[in-house]
Amino acid sequence: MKIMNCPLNGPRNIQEFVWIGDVKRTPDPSCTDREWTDYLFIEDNLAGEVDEWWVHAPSNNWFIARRNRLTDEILWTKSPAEYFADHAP
Amino acid sequence: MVSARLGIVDLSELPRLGFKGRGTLPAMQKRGIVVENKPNRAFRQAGGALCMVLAASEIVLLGALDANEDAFAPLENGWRIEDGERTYPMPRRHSHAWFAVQGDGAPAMLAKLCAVDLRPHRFEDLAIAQTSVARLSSIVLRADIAQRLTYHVLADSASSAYMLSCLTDSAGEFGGSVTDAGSLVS
Repeated sequence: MKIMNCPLNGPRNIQEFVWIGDVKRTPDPSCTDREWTDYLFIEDNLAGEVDEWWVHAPSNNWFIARRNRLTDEILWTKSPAEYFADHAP
Repeated sequence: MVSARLGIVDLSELPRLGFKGRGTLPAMQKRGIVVENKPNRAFRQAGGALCMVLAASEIVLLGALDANEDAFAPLENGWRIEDGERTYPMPRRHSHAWFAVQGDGAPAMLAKLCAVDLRPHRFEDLAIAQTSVARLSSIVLRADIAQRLTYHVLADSASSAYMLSCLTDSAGEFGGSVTDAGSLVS
């Protein structure tokens, strides 16, 4: 069984987690329809290491994981508070 | 002393109430509830109730075994959005079924349904695991009763019949069965 580390609940079976999608910067509300559409629906689908939103379903805890999409290796997981403190704009 | 007998009790009739929001913990402390910012820990209250801390912003109160139907009604009815406490009540009795599993065989029995190590030396009294039990998202709380090893399983009330059937099926191997709430303390 593949194990993922939830920042709140600790290591758990991967079956308890749901993939949400890439971490993306929300565009300014005054952006164009094309930019908003791109943010909502278009994925880069990068082959490599990507920061992704995941949720631990039993606790509904949202967090961020860095994952290698070629090897499916999870490099680390962080709470949103910790992640955005490290990635301040 | 820990009971060797393995019993499953449906405690779903007992009162329970949740609160959620960033101001939840100070709001509960202001109301005299014993609670600390320790996610996945529970706190015993005077009178036998339990307060489960699921996250820094969420708690669930579980009524005592002898609690009245409306034990938490003052807490729920006394909440007003105008107070701006950044917390709000969650009617957990409507959302979660509640089963207790008591006895020495409980960790081995639950290991058939849940991947978290619930053995007493690894999962201490008042520890909480928010995890999957019988493939159903569940809250597992160890809160011993009268020094008897006791696990509480709370899961989606719409799937309570399924959960009970999984628990009884699993308990069968260990000679366990469904019993009544009186057996938890007698």
